[in-house]
Amino acid sequence: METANKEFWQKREAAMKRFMAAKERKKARIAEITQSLCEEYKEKTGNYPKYINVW
Amino acid sequence: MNALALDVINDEAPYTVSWHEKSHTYRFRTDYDVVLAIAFDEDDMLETAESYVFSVININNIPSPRDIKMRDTVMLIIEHFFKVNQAALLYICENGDGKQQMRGRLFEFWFSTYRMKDDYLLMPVSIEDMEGLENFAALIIRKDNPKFVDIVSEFSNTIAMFRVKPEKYDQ
Repeated sequence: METANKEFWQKREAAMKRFMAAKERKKARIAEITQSLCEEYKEKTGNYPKYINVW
Repeated sequence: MNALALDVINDEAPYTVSWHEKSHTYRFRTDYDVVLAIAFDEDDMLETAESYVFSVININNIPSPRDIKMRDTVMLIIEHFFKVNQAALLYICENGDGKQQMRGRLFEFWFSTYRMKDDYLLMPVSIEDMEGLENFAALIIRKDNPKFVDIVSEFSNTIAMFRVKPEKYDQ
């Protein structure tokens, strides 16, 4: 029983770490894409955009 | 990831889609001058199959209006992603500004109105992460994916594991 519980929590922790890492990667990727979009927008219009929506 | 066939997409898409090499995103501009960037980034959250995290970013100088052509173009890009990639798509709502629930619901609504929705499974979930933040996420997969059962089982089991909290175990 204790071994089964230990295995469960280890699996849960590993899955949660993968989820947190996926979130972090998405955050970094969003920052990179947003910067690229904003720079292009500024080059075209002279101003930075007011609204940035991330899905 | 296999690249999407832009000529095929653009035969049907309400807006012209292009590939932006520098940021590795698919882009289009709407009638309201909103620029959208769409990314599919490989991820290892699922162990049983190839999976990608899907992101959409739009910028504008006015609040984005409701635009059916924008929805149809985004859905067409997703549809073509699945035509050339036998993979699972994960949608993790950005929660930096507290509007993740609204975006999650809007995405579900878009999917519910999509003409080919019956060919796909959209599995929306809520995940409380290590920092105690609630995250809205979804698994999107074609029903004819050969690993459909394995992928859905892994995703469901993972979400079920997350619902069991360590403090409850300790009590």
